[in-house]
Amino acid sequence: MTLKISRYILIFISIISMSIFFPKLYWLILETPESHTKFFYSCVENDFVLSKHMDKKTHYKTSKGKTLSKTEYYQALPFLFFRNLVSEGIMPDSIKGVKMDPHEITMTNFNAKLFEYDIDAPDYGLYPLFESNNGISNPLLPEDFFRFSKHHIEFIIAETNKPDVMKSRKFAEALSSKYFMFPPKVIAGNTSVRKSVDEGYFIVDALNHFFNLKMTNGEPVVTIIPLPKEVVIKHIQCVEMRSREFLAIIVSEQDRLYLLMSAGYLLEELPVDKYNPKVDNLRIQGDMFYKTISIIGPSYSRNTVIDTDYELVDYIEENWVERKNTKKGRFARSIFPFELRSSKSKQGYKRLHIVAPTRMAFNINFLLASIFFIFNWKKRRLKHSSHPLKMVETLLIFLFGMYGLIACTVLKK
Amino acid sequence: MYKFLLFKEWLKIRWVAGSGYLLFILISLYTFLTIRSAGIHSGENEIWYKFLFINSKFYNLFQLAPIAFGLALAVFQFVPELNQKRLRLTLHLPISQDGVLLSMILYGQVILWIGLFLLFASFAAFTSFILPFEIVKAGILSILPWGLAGIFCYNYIVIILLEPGLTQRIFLFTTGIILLLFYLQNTIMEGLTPQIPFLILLSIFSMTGVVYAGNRFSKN
Repeated sequence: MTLKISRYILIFISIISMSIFFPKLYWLILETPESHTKFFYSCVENDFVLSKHMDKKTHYKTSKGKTLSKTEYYQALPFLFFRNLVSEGIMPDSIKGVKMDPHEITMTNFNAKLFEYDIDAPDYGLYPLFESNNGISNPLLPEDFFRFSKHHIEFIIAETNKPDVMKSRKFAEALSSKYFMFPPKVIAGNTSVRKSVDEGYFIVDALNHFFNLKMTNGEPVVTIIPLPKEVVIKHIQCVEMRSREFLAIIVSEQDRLYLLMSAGYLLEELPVDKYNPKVDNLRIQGDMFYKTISIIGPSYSRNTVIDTDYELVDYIEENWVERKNTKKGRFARSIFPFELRSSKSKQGYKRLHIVAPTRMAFNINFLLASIFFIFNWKKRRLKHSSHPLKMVETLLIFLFGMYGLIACTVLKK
Repeated sequence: MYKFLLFKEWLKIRWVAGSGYLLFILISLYTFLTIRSAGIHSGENEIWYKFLFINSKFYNLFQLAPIAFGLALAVFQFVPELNQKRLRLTLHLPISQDGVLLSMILYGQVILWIGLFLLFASFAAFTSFILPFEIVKAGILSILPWGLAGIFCYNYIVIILLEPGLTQRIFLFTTGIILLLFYLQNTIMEGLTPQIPFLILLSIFSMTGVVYAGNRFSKN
């Protein structure tokens, strides 16, 4: 019995190994790079302009089908290709009646991103609190880092690796005076030392109340941020932008997207209907007139344009067939009973994923198991009456198809 | 009988075990000294910042050490037995064959787990002087899959050494390498944490394969 169990466990481990290797090898040989359309909203054309790499060439056009040359494409996006247009001497003096000022363009251009791995990533629970009143220089890295425990905030001095009791008490009192409930649920801040201004940390406490914690001249500054009743914050992604129009992208428990505005820490809901933080990547690209909110998922790109008043201007989407549903993908899911793979991202958690097979794979499994069974049955009937029917192996082949067949055949009794 | 068997195992692997333990402690000490030196030069706060936000992997020296230990342990424990045909004699002792094999591999496992415990304990003990709990914990969680890789490697090397068939050996070697690479995936600090339960199960269950290979060995 021990021998049987030992063999089946070894077979099962081999099946796991093959389910990682064979699909990976298949895609390594057969995968062709896919190029998806890039969408930008043109304030010159008042329309989306598209670029797509196809047949070793990049094609440019508007959403209405008007083909553009590369120069026309650049001219249609004067803020995105501002430097190219200036160096060529073709940057317009004014757009929509607004005089073009290089400083203003640089100040208003921004690109904010929120990737799926930003949300599903480890939080080590230790943060540097920068001095926010540091004049014109970049914030200096503080000598201590803070952590939250169940009942208090604690500052640890890096040099000694010991808590700064006085500072910890001062900050804990400042938080408690604003009715902050420990432990916090979400903590987010811009930890970059290259930022121009420090906005401190945005913290959601145990009762889902929203706070901002800053250090100004060494003293704690705690601000309560009012939240609409229906908003329960799930994730906060701080962004760095020169204009400081907004400070963070917020994802609610209902997967709604909000911007945390600098002015009054108000929340501005983005007019985006479908957003799945588990699989979608979000990019907000903005300029003097418009903001393009792009949600790029496994089989779609949804692009929404809003103006400076956050009113909806335009929308375009592109859908494509997800890799697993392409011809090659369906073939792979037919011949391989399942695929075990790890998340591709190197920046967040690596999770295990099982790619489910098509119905055809079950048919193939059934066929393989039947052949295996008939082969053993015939052998038993024609040659040796003591030949086993190998029912467990047949079941393993029925469940794990070619992986089971290979493992059972190689790892003989 | 088992007492004598285990004593025999101890005689075979005591030097490898001792060297492995020493290696783990020395790597922990070296890691500690490197971090301390970097802290003195550029400031401890800079070092903490790099570990937390710039994904500087201060524990990278540990990546292959458990695998090397597992490999050495398997080779020193089983190769002399196989070369001098002593294992065949051991398997014909008047005790359960599976019991003998499992006790041998369990002995190796215990030595390995003690090694891993020493690795984590020395790593935590040294680095706790200069690093906060959060970074030490994240470091341990990042090293854990590599430690488990050492156990998996030991199990598979023993299975491959015992297995008499060439086809089976090649098959087990290939499937083993694929899984071993899964333990060594490149990621950020603590990035493999969700896969740790799966890797633990894989390491533990792969041990049972030795009964299968051992039985085939004794029949051959």
